[in-house]
Amino acid sequence: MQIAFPVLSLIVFLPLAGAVILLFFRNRTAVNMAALVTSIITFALTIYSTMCFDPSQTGFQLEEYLPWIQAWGISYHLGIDGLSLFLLPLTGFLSVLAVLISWKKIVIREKAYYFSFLFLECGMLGVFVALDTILFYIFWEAMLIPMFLIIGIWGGANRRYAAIKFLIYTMAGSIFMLIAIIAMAVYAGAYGSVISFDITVWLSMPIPANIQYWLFAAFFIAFAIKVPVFPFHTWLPDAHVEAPTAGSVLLAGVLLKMGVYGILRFCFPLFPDAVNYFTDAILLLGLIGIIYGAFVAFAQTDLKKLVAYSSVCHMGLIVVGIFALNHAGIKGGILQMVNHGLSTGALFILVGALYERTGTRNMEVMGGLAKKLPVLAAFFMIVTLSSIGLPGLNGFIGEFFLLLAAFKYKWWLGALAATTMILGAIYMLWMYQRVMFEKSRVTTPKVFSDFSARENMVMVPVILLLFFIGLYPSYFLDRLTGISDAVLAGINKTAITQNVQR
Amino acid sequence: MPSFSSLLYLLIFLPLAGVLINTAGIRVFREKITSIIACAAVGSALLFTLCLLPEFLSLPQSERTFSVILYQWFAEGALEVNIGLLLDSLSLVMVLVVLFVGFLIHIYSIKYMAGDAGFNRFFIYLNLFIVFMLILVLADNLILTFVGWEGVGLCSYLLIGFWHEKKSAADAGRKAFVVNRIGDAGFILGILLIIITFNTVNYAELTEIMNAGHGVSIFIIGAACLLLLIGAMGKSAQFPLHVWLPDAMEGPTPVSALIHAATMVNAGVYLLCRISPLLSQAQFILPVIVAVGLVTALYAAISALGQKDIKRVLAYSTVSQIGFMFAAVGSGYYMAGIFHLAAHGIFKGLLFLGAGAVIHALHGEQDINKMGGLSGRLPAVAKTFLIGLMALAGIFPLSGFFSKDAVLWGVFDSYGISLWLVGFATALLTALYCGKLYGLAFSGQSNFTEKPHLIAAAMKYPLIVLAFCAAVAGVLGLPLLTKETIFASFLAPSFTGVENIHAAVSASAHMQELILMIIAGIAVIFVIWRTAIAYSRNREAVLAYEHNYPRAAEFLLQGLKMDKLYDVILVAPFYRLTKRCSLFIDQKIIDGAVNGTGKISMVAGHFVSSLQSGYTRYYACSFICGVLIFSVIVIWLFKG
Repeated sequence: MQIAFPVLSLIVFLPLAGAVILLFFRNRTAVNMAALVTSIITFALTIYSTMCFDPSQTGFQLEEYLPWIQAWGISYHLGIDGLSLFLLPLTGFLSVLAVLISWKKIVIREKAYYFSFLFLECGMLGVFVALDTILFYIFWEAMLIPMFLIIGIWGGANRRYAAIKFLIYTMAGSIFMLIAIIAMAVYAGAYGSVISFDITVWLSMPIPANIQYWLFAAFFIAFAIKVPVFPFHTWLPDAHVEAPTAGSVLLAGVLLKMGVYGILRFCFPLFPDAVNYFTDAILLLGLIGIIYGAFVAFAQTDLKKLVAYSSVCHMGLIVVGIFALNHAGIKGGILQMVNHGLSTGALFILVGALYERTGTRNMEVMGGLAKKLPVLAAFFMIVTLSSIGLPGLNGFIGEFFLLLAAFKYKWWLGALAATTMILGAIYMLWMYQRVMFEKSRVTTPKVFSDFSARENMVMVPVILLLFFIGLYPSYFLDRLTGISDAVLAGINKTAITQNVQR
Repeated sequence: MPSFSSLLYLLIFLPLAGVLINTAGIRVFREKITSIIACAAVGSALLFTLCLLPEFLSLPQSERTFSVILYQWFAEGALEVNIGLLLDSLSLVMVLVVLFVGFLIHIYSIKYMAGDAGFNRFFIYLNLFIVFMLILVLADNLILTFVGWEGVGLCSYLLIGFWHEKKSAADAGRKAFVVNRIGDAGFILGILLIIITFNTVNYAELTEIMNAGHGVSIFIIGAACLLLLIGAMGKSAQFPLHVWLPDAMEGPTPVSALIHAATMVNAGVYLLCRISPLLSQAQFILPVIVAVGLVTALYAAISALGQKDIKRVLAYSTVSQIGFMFAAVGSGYYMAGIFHLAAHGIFKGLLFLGAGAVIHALHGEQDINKMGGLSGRLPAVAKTFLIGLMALAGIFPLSGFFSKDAVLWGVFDSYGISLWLVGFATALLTALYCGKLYGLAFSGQSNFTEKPHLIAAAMKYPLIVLAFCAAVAGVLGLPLLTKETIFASFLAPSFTGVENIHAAVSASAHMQELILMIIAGIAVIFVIWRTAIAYSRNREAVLAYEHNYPRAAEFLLQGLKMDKLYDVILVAPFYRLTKRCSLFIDQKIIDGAVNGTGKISMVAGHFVSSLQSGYTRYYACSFICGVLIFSVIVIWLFKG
């Protein structure tokens, strides 16, 4: 479809424009409204871009191209394919929720907060649409700064440690990626006589296997930290616990997805030999993530930490699924990214709502809340069930596809990955019981207010989406066929030649 | 003529409408409105099924299958999964049991739950359970069955933990869900194996593949069956995954009657019957099923003997009876298994409702040792309960006699006298605890001093209806001594090509069956009669045994200490391991390394920054040193 205006540029830079505009407002409500309106329009645009997308075509769509630094082959190149298709509206949606849940909750430097938020949104959206790697890298790094500020300024008691840990951890990974990006550009110069940072150019050139191994490793470390893959996960619990609710929602909902996005965007199509070579080792890490993450989650007493570790399990399963290198895994992985963004985002919203009411996240002193907060308890139940993959809700479809992928790869891999069904139920229901059931363990009885209209406005759309994906996943899966073909094309080809050579 | 079959999905939407309406009005509806909506939702579905019945029966046997596809749920490669429903004679039997018993229990619950703070919530869960149970039995493919399967598990979790302020109730619900999930993981893996092997999960297509030459190793089919069996064992509380069911009695009694006796716990048997085409190809799995069934039946019957709580007696009895159903399936006698399932659903539903009435009347007392003499005070309950117990024990001519005989005969026919004896011993134990239960609770002298509550009509009539059915349902098992009973010929279309292996039963076999039946029948009557007498007349003398052997009594009471065993070998090590992972590996090793790296760079930074002292003499000195070292390196390099 031909579109008259540059929709992707608009999506990316509208939040930035909004961020600048809200600096001119004085009134608190006006600042809030400006942020809300900006995020809603952006969300509407992301939906529009999804509707413009034609699933029957392969390759990138809605492309925008402008030369930028021609001498070095750097350009302003945007575009989307099946991989980024649903991540854009997910980001847009969660950003709206993030603004809504921050509504009048931020007491210090409100303007700076919303500025950081919209700046962050610009970075996140930019990462998903950038097709030039320098552009990608700029968005990738630019996104860190507002997140660093959000954790470091509006976070909890131990926010400084968490913010610095988050920043350094991620930066350390990014360095490797930067080196690999430059190496790829130089290689492109040697191969095609013109230096280029454009992914579409890179995709068309063959890379010798021994170079692939190094470049893959460099990219993978950067993305593995973001996912996070065991053992690079320890920044996550700290960052989540200290971040304000909206920060946690975007961290879990969008930032973690960038790791998997990067792997599928760069590692799979560019380095198919290396992917085949490293698969078994990465599958092992993913598997450890699933089981180990569940064990650690079970041992937590802090509600937010438990949810953070549950992310380690879920992301581990996604890694296992995509590295099983089959269609079910790629589709399931991408769908599960959306699912995890919604369910875990919703979990963090609920945890934040609980924290506002009880003033604690320690599950040892909670309990008996189902009676006092029935609506919140019902939402919490549904989201918990979505997280443990109850069929009819979204989590099941993703989990089923990923397990199918693992099982197709090796039956025992599927069997080990399926323990996530049991372990997930163990730690999530134990969590639910400690928070909601039994009698209140706090001696002084408190009067709580149940969900307000604004909070219902946040949760109801999420819940409806959980059901929609669970009951009609075809809408999503049908649009992922093209991308899973494209991602796997190179991998299967090299796998076959490798087998022939053996 | 309107075809009911094309409206099959209404069967699910009617109770679903009940769920949605009651959820919308959870804050505003009064008890009366909620209960009317909930009962109407199930009642209309029952009525709908009864309207469907004539149309179903008018068809020739081979065409008795209705199927409706709503839409394609998802597809992956050659695999297509539809939201599609299938009604054949097997699922029709299940639907009838679910809706009939379910409807009566809804009626009963109106009075049983009256005044409870969570009244509306209770009926929403109950309707939701019916929805998922119908999805389970009507699904046309394994994955949709799994949807219902997990859904009923969810409702079971919610209803066991209905009074969740009680820690024991919340624990029991969670335990049920987790143990079921262990089975469900097996179920999912079984589905995955079937997908990978056959590229379909549709029952009809699987049957087709099985009947044609498929060239798949029977060991793969066997492995898939075994994995599905694990799922069935979890849901149907078979040894060693039975531990959740006795604890599930924490839930309100109507829930125990509906979910943990009549419907959900039998889902495993239903699943095994659904996959009978696969089982018939992997015959070597059948002995495993029989072993699971008989071990469970015997184990649970022994445990039931030592229980003090009236509901726990019935819970262990349920486990034991489902073991019988598994034994029937494992003998290749699927129809006998389903027959026992239906009969058991009725009489065990009756017994639980009776127990609920007793508990209600006695202000919440559940200990049978503290009851006694209830037959005088609650005559209607006592009479119906006695009918239920006699059906459970298998006394001629009640329904349990026919169904249990069919199962025992199946075991004898396929595996000979030794396994039959195990089944027979279990039947005797069943009679023993039935006699004990009646003797202690209903006859003899009253131990209860307070005045019992009156039983409301809404609670009494379901008991009477169920008792009537429990008494006469055996008719379906006629004519005796043949395989072509009324019930079996109704079910036969669902099992075409599966049971032929047992088709030819010789005349001498009939003789054997008759002899075994008479022996079992007389022995059971004798045992139940003597025990009931013993417990009602010489109560003190019999109970003295328990005081004289406290450890044995405790051992039986705790179900042979299986829970304790799991605590020691699984739960406690799991707790320790999780603590170790969190405190040691995550915080010490991994984060230690991370923070260590940070510290090293800090220390290095401090060292380097201390060089920048601001004194010119230091800079001059370091400048000279640098030049010297650099010169040495250059000279050394160029020398070689």
